[in-house]
Amino acid sequence: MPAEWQWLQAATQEPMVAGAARAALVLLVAMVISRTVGRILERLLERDDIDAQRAMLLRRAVSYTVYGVAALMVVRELGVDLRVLLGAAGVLSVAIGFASQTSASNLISGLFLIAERPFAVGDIVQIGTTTGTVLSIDLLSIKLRTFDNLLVRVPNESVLKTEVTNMTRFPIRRYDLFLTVALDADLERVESVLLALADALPECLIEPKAGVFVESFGDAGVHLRFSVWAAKDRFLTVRRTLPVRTKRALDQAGIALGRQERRIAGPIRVSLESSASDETAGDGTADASK
Amino acid sequence: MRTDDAPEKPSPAPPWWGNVVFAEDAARYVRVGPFELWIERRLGEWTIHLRTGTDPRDGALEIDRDVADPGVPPIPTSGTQVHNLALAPEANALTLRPRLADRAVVFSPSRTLIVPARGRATLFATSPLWLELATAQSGRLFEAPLWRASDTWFGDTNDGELCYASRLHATREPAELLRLPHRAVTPLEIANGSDEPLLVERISVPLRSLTLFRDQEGQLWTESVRLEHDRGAGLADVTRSGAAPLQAHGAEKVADPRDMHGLRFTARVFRGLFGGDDAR
Repeated sequence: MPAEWQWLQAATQEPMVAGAARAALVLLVAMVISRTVGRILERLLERDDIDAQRAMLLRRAVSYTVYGVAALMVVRELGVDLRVLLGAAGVLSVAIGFASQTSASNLISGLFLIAERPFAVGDIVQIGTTTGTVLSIDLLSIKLRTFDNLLVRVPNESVLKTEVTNMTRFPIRRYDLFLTVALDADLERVESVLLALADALPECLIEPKAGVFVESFGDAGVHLRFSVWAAKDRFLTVRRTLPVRTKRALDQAGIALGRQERRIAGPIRVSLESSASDETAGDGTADASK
Repeated sequence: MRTDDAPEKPSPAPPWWGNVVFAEDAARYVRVGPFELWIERRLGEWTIHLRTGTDPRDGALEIDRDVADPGVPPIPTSGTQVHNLALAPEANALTLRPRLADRAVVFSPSRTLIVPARGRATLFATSPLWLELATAQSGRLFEAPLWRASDTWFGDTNDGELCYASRLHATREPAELLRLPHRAVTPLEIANGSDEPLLVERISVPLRSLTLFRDQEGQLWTESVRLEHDRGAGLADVTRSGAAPLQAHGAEKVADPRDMHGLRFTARVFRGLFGGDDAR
């Protein structure tokens, strides 16, 4: 019998080595189970058309459970008394609690967010000044991908404290275009031109109807709100095309957009002052040939 | 012998679908209402040019014309959608097929229709068709609407369905409908089984579930749809007949439904006078 084999046999007789080997085996089995179950779940969830966030949560719950049970088994295999460990954990938790207040706060906020579900993975949200697509909702933070393709990590605590706008929760959205037309523009004609434009654009929904509303009268002209509705996946098309088409339609209809102007009533006295050099030139008339 | 008083019976409109066979270095032209299609085959490369007009009442029909023929518009250099097809070298024909809309279409009667309690009414509505391009070797290639209907929402802002809006009103008499080659007629039988009058401002018809037929005059029809209303919230039991409508004489099937639903299902199909939302 080779010496290496004898050494291996002797080593496995040692309780510590045997325990460590069993612990490693448990970890390996846990990894295999977690991955296999994860893949099976993924297929099942795809078939049942479950939304991305629920699928992610379910996968993580399964993974955490498998690894949690495996961790307990590993500790036992390594010969650590769980009762002692739990007792020590009680004492340690106070110290850890003080040391990780921020993380704990984010963790608890994350649980609230998961329960409340103000948004889901794939939604477009605005959190504070950041707008982007939700990539993941984790226990400590939310990951967003902004429209200029940056990854933004927002701590869960901040999300819970800040106003969050979900732009894709509902299937249709209203787009408001604010514009100013000249004070002397025929507002009924402006309305008919704008409504005809909304009617002609296939992406603007026929129902709910588009509308033109006077917001206020100002120095620059009449401030209007032109509101149209679009399906959420066509919103960007409408956002991109409507302002351009509106300007073109108003130009074609001969309707002037407003501009900042001041009208001064009453007679105005205008005086021209001539410079000293002009006075010395003689008659004070301008020479067009110069 | 035909007398001068007897109205001349119009000849049936020929089908615009079927195979378009090509020689190398050829270009063909098809026009169906507001939709124009140029197909070009040059040195083994196929190029499709599509252009859709805005007039839903355009009834022009040009079937498989050579672009070199007099009066046929040349291939535009701009303002068209262009697709290049990578087809097998042996392919020498494209197949054009008519299809019904890929979403529900919302119809409105010319005036709000009131169907009394326990009463019934029949409406006739037309919806725009889609063109499917296919080859014998590769099957379906792509689809395009013969007239791009506007989107509309059927439901409230929270919950509903994205549909197309039919710009042409539904009528009580089929004779009042414009016979257009790019639209199919759907007979809608409305049965009000409730004890309240039913005010019908708009009706959503799930065209994905319907079969397309052609009658002996060349008009396209869908099977008739029966909408039985006896519950609230605009809901109705929708039953499709499964056969060509009685009004389509000598009809033959042209295309199967996109969705093979059962013959009976429930859907939100009615929108009454008091269900409107506005943009505020």
